Parts: sequence; C-alpha cells; structure tokens
Amino acid sequence: MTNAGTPAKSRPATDAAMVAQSAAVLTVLPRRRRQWAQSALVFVAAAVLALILSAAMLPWAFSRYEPNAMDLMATLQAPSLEHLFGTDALGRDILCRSIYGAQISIFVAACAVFLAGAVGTALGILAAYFRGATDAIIMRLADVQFSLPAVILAMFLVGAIGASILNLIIVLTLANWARFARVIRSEALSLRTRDFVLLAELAGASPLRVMVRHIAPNILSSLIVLATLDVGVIVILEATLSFLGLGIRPPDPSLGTLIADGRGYLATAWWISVLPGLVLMSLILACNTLGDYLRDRLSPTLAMKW
Amino acid sequence: MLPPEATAADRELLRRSMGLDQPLVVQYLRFLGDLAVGDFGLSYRFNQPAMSVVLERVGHTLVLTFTALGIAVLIGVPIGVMSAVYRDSWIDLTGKLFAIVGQSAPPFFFGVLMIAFFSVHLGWLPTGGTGGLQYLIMPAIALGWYSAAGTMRLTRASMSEVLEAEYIKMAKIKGLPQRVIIYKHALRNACLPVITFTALQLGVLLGGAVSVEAVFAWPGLGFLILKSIEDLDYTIVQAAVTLIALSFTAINLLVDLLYAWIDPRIRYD
Repeated sequence: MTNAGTPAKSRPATDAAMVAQSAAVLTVLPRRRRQWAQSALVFVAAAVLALILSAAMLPWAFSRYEPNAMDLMATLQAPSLEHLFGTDALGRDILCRSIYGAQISIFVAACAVFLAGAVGTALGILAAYFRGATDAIIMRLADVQFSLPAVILAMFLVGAIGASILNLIIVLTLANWARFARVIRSEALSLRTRDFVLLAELAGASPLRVMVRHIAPNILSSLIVLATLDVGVIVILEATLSFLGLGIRPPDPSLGTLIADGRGYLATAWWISVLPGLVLMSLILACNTLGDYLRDRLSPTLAMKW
Repeated sequence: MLPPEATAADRELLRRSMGLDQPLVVQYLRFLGDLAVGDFGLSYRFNQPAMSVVLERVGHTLVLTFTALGIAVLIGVPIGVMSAVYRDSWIDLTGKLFAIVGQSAPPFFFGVLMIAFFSVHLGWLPTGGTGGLQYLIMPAIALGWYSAAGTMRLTRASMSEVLEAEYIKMAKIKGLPQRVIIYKHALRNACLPVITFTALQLGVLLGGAVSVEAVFAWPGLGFLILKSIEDLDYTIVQAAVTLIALSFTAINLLVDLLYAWIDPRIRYD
C-alpha cells in the first residue's frame, strides 16, 4: 500500500552517487515521517469529528441559547465571549444555530448514507446473484442516476416532490445509491464464483441464505469504506441544496441555510456566513480524512495510492 | 400560476391551454412525442419555447465550466507532479494539505469566502453578475478549486507509481536531466488516468456550477434551473435537465473513446 518512493531530490553528480541515492530510497526514514504525519492528521480529524458530534448530540452542554430565540437588544454582534460566533440580524446566537444546524446536517447525512448504502448493497448483490434480466434492470436504473450530476438530479427531484427533511433524505438516497450498487455488484460477482458460495448452493442453501449469510458478510469492509467516504459527499450535497433553498427550510437552521442567511451581511457581519461555513468545512474535512484512512486500512483494492 | 382572484373560467382556460384537461396517459404520451422532436413546450414565464430559453444560457455555463476546468488542470497537475517528485518533503505536505482542504470546501462556501475577502474587504472584484473578465475570475476559481484538489491527488498518485518503474530508474542511471525524466518519461505515462479524470470532472463541474452560479448571480443554466424551480416553470427545468443529461452522457462516451485512442492497449471488442 505504501511503498518507499523514489524522490529525485537533487541531480547526482556521478553515476555512483545516483546508485547510492537509489539505495538510500529504500530506507525506512521517509516512511516513518509519512506515517507520523498521517496519524497526526487522523487523530486531529477524529478529535474534530468527536467535538462536532458531541455538540450535535448534547447542544445544551455547549450553548446556553436557543437556536430560534431572538434578542433584539443584541443584533449583529461580533464574536465575543458572550456570543462566541456572534449574533445575526435577529439577535440569534450563531454558535447555537451552527450546533443545531450541524445536528440536522449530520442526521440527514447519516440517514441518507445508511439508506443509500442499504439500497445500493441489496440491489448490487441481487444484480450479481441473479444476473440476466435482474442485473440489466438494476444497472440501467443505476445508469439513470449516473446520467446526471448529483446536485442537478437532487434539485430536479426536490422540485418535483417539494422540500422537507424527509424528502431531502429520500432525494439524497436516490442520488447516491448507484455508486454503492456498482462497487458492491462487481465484488459480489467475483464472490459468486468462489468455492464457498458454490458449496453452499450445492448444500441446498436458498438464494436468500446465500446472499445474506455468504456474500453479504464478505462485502462488509468495502461497504464501510464506501459509506464513510460518502458521508462527506452527502454533507456537501445537503448543504448545497439547503443553501439554494431546496433543502432544510428556515427557520430551522442547517449549515447550508445559515451560510445563505449571512450572504446579505458580508460587509457588516461576516461571521454570520463564515463561521457556520467553517464548521461545515471542518465536518467534511474530518469525514474525508477518516474515510481515506479507513480505505487505506480496510480495503487496499479501493485505495488510491496516497 | 394564476393570481388568487382568477375566476373559474380563467382557470379552465389555463388548464385547457396547457393540456391539463386530458388524461394523464395522453399528457405523458404527448410529452414524449414532443420530446422526440426536441419540443419541450412553452415556458410560461418567458412565453417562449423552453429549449430556446435554455440554449440562450448554455454559453455562460460553458464559459464558466471550461475556465474552471482549465484552472483545475493548471493548478492540479503541476502541484501533483511536484508532490510526487518531492515525496514526503514540505512541498508534498503543502500539496496534500491543499488537496484535503480543497476537497472539503463546498464551492458555494468558497465563493462566499472569496466575496467576503476580495469584493467586500478589498473591493477588487465585483460580487456577481456578468461582463468582463473580472466577473469570471471568482466564480471560475470557486468552481475549479474542488476539481483542482482531485486532479492533484490523482496526478500525485499516478506519478508516484510511474516514478517507481524500472524505466525511470534506467533513465536516472543513464544520467538524463531530472526535467527530462519527469516531464518526458514520467508525466507522459502518468497522464492517462488524469486525462480521464479531467474529462469526467466536466460533469462534476456542470453540477457544481449550479451553486456557484447562484452565489455569483452568473446567468447560466444552473441559475436558470434554480429560478425556474422557484417559479414552478417546469418546462424550463425539464428542458435544461434533459440537455445536461444528454451532454453528461455524451461526455462519458467521448471519454471512453478518447481512452482507447490515447492508449492503444485498450480496445473495446
């Protein structure tokens, strides 16, 4: 997975020096430094994610304000000890709204990733197991999803069924299941020809039993990796939709709507947009970093050399 | 679509003029029939054929998307190459940081940040709209940044792999200058997946353009779709989405063909 690179640091004067440098390349030193940098990054990412998750789960422990409580005596206040993230035009505490916003964003993303993963895996295994017409139908459905950029597909669907939290989860699921289905299908296809699956069939196991007990468990690690990497993508997608007014509707805060709310105040009160946006970025950053790490550890076949 | 004080006769007239008095099946078949000849119906807001309204806007989106793609390649590839060549040095760490942050910043938020800094704080660039080059800079960077990060990661991964190949070691032992090794021997062999990725990014950028266009009031397709969803102008939404799906599919097909053309080892039988 990680092999020592050949950093051509400087131009060696002689061939002998060149050969010596090539040999030096194989020492463990750069590798150790890389591992240190990676584990530091993963540690920071885990800490950030833990902080955001605990704030989202226990908002009252992190903020003594209410997300929609207005305080017209304290409007558009800059960040201070009283209001760490400042207040908006209605005197609402931005930190508190960011925490509740993160709560909704995480809830929606978690539901959507879970559903997309479940639907995608089930359809992927079905397609690989039965092949033929089942496979053709499922994969053509996946092609429909792949024929549009996810944001546009999601916008189109929200436009058709309307914006609400439940609809948002449905739309995000519909815009993301095919990625799972494709990868899982190709893995299940190769598992299907393995001896233990053939033997299970010979022993008289029903198709359902083969799929659930013999194929599904062997796909789990890829599924975990795909799902973790998908969280960041879905959080971005949800924030984009909410930012465009097609996701979570005001007054409910979501990180996307908070950024949209502050756009009119960039000149006078930058914190309304920028601070919730930084929370959103840290959330995505943490998810992506942990996803990359899990992929490298659990599923080398999916890993891109990093 | 009608004001609340519209009479029953007005409503009936509108229903009939839009064909809503027909059964659903008839409506759908008629829609499909019109679709086959490229007729998406009238936009009630513009009172023009929906497709012609959409086609008027395509140019803006194409300019934005291709500029963003150019930025992604011009930033992503050099940084990726440098990161791979000076692996584990501070250059590499900076490059990685750039990629990780880039892939975590939603384009719309990056756009808001740039407006806050360059337009509001420094007053250098207009906050939105269209016109000269100064209107294009921020939207294109906001959109291209995310893809630049991906391009950088892939270039780095692909370059690292190629740099470990025997023929690169051979070139080094022959004493070729580093510049020649990197750009002539390594990059040429490493660029195949990058080209594929870049072409596929065109579709991603097309999607990302929606939010960026909304941030910068850039009068392209995405902005049009958004406004049309708000105004319930569904013919426009259908026409635009169909157009995007068609171009997206065409791009994917072209990438596959391009791939086989660049790398003769790949043949589709």
